[in-house]
Amino acid sequence: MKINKKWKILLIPLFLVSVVIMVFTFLYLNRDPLPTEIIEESRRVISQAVKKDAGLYAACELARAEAYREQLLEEWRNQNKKPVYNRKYNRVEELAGLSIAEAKKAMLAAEKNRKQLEQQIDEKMKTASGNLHEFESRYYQLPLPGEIRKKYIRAKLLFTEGESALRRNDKLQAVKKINTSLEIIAQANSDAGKFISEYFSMYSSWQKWVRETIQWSAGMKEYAIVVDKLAHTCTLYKDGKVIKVFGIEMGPNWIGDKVQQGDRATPEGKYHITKKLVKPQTIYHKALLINYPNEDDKKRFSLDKKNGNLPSRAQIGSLIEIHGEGGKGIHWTDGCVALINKDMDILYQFVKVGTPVTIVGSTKPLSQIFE
Amino acid sequence: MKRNFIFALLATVIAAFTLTSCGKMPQAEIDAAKAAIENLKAIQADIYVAGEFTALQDSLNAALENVEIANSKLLKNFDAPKAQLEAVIANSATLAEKTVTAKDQVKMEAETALVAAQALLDENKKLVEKAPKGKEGKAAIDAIKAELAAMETALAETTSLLEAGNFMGAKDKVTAATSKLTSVNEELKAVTAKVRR
Repeated sequence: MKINKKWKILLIPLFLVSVVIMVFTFLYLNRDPLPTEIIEESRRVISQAVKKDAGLYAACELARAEAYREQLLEEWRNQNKKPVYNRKYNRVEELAGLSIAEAKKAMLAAEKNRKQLEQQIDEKMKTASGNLHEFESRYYQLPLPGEIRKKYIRAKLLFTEGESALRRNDKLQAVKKINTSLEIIAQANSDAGKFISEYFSMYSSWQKWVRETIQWSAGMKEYAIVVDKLAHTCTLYKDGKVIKVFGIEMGPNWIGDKVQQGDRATPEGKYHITKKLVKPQTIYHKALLINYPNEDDKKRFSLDKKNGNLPSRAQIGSLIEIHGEGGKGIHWTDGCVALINKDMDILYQFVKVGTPVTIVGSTKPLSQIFE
Repeated sequence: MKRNFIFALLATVIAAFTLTSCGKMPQAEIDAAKAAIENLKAIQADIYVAGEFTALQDSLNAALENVEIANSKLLKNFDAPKAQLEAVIANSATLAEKTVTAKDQVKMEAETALVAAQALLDENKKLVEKAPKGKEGKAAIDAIKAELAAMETALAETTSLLEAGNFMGAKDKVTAATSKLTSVNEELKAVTAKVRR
């Protein structure tokens, strides 16, 4: 049989195409299989790690997993550029395995670190809250220097910011804020503690004055008054025994001795009543004027002026009284000691001109104050 | 005969080409989708719409993976990954809008709170100044003044945070300051009332 020339022309390419298809089919069937499952698994596990906040709590592990994944994709792309029969995916598979392992590590580390951070936040918040409470209970009511009070406010605000960050689940921001709050409140407590300790350097003198006053009362069988500034009390003694304790209000700068006129401080020292006043001699219901400044006050004032601790125009001040119209709930006087009118009536009837009035920072040692 | 051979060779090449090169890599879509995700990061979608952003990023990764799977095949067909990439691009645009809305919302809340806090601070300052002068007016005002100064600093910091685009931080700060300013306001009013009694 003779094949037509036209058929020949068609049969040759058909034969060649068939050969090509067969070759391709053979190569395709015998190619290195693409590790699709492990590649997908690698993406899925990394995605899970991201969802578990590994980016926040296990950043290094996640970065390593992502780096392996990038290398995997690069290797895959390189292999895809090669002819199908020449592609090798073993490195791709290996990189996928490494990225899965790192992503799983990242998930575990994230979970562990998140829990640790939560525990840390919990502990730090308790400590910060305790330190803030310590400041509030010990020092908040004291007339502290402005800088210490500013520190307390700053710490308080940072603590509240930390709480807000925690509410919106930003734990890293929360711990940052609370850490700063802790640092500042520690400083504020320390500064306030130093401030009070310095104030208590006079404690031995205060102790002596109080002891002498009580002994005098016992010896003379007379009334005597002891004002405890820190306890905010005015104690009436008779025969060396406590008869009555009254609550008091003082000047806003009641911590520290009175140094000069207008400092709104209540003086500390041994005084006595020089005048008893009733309305209209006083606008404060009833008043007991004391002999401030005494000789010690005058000496100290002169020395302070001489040493340049006070300006040359400074005045020592006067007219310190125990008077009525107290009960405002704040320290409002210019250095006087204010009692509520009812208590003032009681005190007024027992005391006379010459009754000792001893004013001290505290009758208790510092160690007992904050117990 | 020579002409026939050339014809046959050409037919073979065309057949081989048709069999091996069916689709073209959707490079433009890949680049656009990657750029869209980068843009979302730049506008802080990972902070304001974190969950949706992570899901979209995952969709991009899946699409890129499918591109390579298609590229590995003898008969390349990029239709499915191309459609996935186009969906990522479209969803990125929607998410960008959502991010802007969420950011604007937080920014507006922080700004509104800042205005209110500033007003409260001014009111507190006036209350301090209005406190009666003389013996009875010199209450624990100095302490309150120190507190107000600290809160004024906090409000200035809030403004800086807003300017820097840290709206969440600004909101936290102004909320904390407002809480304290409110308690100081109450304290000041109580103190003034007691002194005037």
